[in-house]
Amino acid sequence: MTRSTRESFLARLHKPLGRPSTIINIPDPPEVDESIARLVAKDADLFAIFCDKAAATGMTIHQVTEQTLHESITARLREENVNTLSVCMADSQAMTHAVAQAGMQVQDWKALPGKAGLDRQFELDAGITDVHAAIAETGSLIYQSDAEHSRGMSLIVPWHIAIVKKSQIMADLIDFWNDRSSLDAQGMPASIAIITGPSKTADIEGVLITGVHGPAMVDVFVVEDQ
Amino acid sequence: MSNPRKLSQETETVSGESVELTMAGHDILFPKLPYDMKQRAKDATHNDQLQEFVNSATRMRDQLRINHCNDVFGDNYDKMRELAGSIKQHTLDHLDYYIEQFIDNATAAGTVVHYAADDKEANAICLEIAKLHSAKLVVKSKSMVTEETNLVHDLEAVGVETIETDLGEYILQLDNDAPSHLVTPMIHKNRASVGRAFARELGVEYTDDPKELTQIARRVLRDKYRQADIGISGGNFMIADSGSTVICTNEGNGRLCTSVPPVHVAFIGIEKMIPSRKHLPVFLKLLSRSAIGSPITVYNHIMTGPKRSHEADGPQEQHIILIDNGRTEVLKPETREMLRCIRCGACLNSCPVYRKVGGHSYGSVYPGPIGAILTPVFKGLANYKDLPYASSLCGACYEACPVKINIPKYLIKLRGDLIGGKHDKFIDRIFFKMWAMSLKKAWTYRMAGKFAGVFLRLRAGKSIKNKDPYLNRGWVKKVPGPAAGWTEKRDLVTPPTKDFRSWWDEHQKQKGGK
Ligand code: SF4
Repeated sequence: MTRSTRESFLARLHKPLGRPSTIINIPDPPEVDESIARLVAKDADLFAIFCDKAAATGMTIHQVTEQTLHESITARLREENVNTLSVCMADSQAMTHAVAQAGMQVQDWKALPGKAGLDRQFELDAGITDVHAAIAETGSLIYQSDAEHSRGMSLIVPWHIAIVKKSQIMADLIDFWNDRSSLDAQGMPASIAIITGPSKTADIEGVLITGVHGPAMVDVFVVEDQ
Repeated sequence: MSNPRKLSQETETVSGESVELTMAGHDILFPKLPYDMKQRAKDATHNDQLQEFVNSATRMRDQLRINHCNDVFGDNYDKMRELAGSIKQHTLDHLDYYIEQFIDNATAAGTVVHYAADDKEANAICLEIAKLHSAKLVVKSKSMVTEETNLVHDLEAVGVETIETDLGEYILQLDNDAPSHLVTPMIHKNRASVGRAFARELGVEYTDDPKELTQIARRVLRDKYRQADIGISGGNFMIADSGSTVICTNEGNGRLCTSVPPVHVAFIGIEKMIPSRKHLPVFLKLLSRSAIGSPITVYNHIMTGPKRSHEADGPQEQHIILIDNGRTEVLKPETREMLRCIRCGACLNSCPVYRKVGGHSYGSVYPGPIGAILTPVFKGLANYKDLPYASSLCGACYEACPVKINIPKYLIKLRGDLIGGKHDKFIDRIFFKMWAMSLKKAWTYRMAGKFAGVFLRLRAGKSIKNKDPYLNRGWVKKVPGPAAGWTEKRDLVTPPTKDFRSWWDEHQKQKGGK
C-alpha cells in the first residue's frame, strides 16, 4: 500500500474546498464574544463562587489560612488512616516535613523517574499537590506537568489533596486560556489537566458512582493568602 | 484473567475463535449492505430495557441539558450555539490552512504526525507502531473513530491484547457487544447483563450492584494501565495554534491512557480542529452541558507533545494519526456543516425516534439524528435508504445541537435525493407527478379527492353510495403505492361517501346562506 504523505493528504482537502493549494492569507476566525461566552465576571466574589462550584462537583472544600494549613491537612490524613503518600509541589519542603512529623511515610516520587515512578504511585494512599490555577466558573483545578509536577499525583492516587491559593482563582475558563494563548508550542506545558471533581461514571443504568479509575476522593484546601 | 475476549459459554458452540467473536459485535455497526433498518427497529420495540430505560434516561438527560443551559446561558443560549457553530464552520472552510498549522506546531512540540486516507491505513500505522515497540498490551480510551476503523479487532488479530478502559466500552468488549450511544455507549444494557458478563468472563461472583461492578472493573483495569506498552486515545479537539490535542472524560481513563504508558497514539478525525486556544473554552463550556447537563467533564486533558526532557514522567512518544476515512467527501460545500459535530449526543437524547428504536437500529457507528445524515454520506445513500426517514422532522435535534447543525434540513435533502435520484419505485414517481398536477387547480384537487375516496371505499369492500355516510365505515387493510407504508403498521379508516366540502355546501344552502 502506498502511504499517504503530508502532500497527498492535503490534496484530499483541497478538492472539496475548491482550491488547488492551501490558502496563504491567514484566516480571521470569529472572536469569542465575552458578552455571550463569559459566565463569571472578573470582579465577582471568586473565592465564594469557587468554593461553591467545587463543592458541587463532589470535592471536599476546606477553607484555611497559611498558619492552619499543615495542621488541617495532617488532621485530615489521620482521619483517613493514610500510611504512605507523596508531596508534589513547587516548594514541597515544609509540607513534606509537616506530614512526616505527623508520622506518615512520605515517598519521594522523584527518586524513581519515568514509568517506574508512575507505576509505584499506584501503591500510594494519597498525593498532595499544589495547582497552577483554579477556575471559579466551574470549580476546576488546573494541574500542569513540569519538573516539579508528576502527572500521576493528581490522577493515579486514590485520594488527591490539592492546595489552592485564593490569589490563584481565575474567574472564567476564558481567562485561563487567554493567559496561555501567548505561549508557543514548545512553551506549552506537555500536559494540562483541568480537573473538576473526583473520577465519575454513570455507565451502568445511569447510577452515579465515583472513583472508577482516578481518585475517588478529592480534598481541596483553599488558603487565604490575600 | 489473561484475555478478556476469551470465549463466552453462550457463543462457544457457534464459533471457535475469539476473532470471530469480535466480528459479532462488529456486525452490529457494520451490517450487510444495503442496510434494512426495519427488523432491528422492530426488535427494539419489543426490548424492555430499551423501551423503559433508554427512553427514560434519554428524556432525563435531555431535560438536564435544557435546564442547565437555560440556567447558565439564559437568553444567550442560542447565541452561544451560534458562536460555537460559526467557529467550527470557519475552521472547516479553512481546514487546509489549520491542518497545516497544526502539523507544524505539533511537530515542533515533538509529536509525530501521521496521515491516514482511510480506516485501513490508520490501523496499519498503529500496527507498525505497536510492532516497533513489541507491544503486548494496549489500553485504549473511548473513541468513535477507532470504532470506524475497527482498530481493536485488527490489533487483537496480530496478538496485541487491547483493552477498552471506558467502563461502558469495557463491559461491551467483555460481552462482545457494540456501543449504541455516542456518550453513554451501553445505555441499552441492564445491570444484570453486566453482572452475568463479569461472572462469566472475569470469574468473579455474580453481583448486579453497580458500585461493586465498578470496583471490580477498577481493580482489573488499574493493573492494565501499569502494564500497558501503548495507550490509545481519540481526541475531542485539536488546537491549530499550539498543536495540542484535547480529550475529555469523566472517568479519568482517558487521562490514564495518555499519561501512564510510555507511548501514546491518538486517532483523530480531521474535523476535530479548532483554530486557537482562545476558542477552546467555548467548546468546553458547551460539550458536557449538552451531553449530560453538567458544567464540564471531570478531566480535560490538553496535551502538547510527549514528555519534556526536564519532566520525570509521561509518554516518551506521542503519535497523532490524522484520519480522513470519508470526511473529505462530507467536506463538500453541500454537506460541510455536518462535520461541525462535537459528538455530544444531545441530538440522540432529544430524538423521539432514537428513544424508541435505540442506537443499534441505525446500523452504523454513528447513531441517532447525526448518524442518520452522516452515515448515508459516508457509506452511500443507496446503502442506507431508511435512515433519512428515521425521523419525525420535529426539529428537536436542531434545537439541542451545540454547534447548530441543521439536521432536519439535511434529512429532507437526503429524502429529496432519494426520490430525485431514482432510488424509488416507478409507480411512486407516477403517483407523485399526478398528485402534484392535481394540486395546481381547485377543481382538479376536488376531483382527485373524490377519486381517492371512491378508490379507498372499493378497497375496503364498501359501496360507493351509502344512506348514512358517516356510519359503518370499516377499515382499509392495505393500500398500494406510496401510501403502503401507512397500512403496513395500521389500518386506514374508510372515507365517508360524502366529503367535508359537499357537506359544508349543503349545510350552507339549508341555512339559506351562500
Ligand atoms: S450533531 Fe450536534 S447534537 Fe448531535 S452529537 Fe453532534 S454536536 Fe451533538
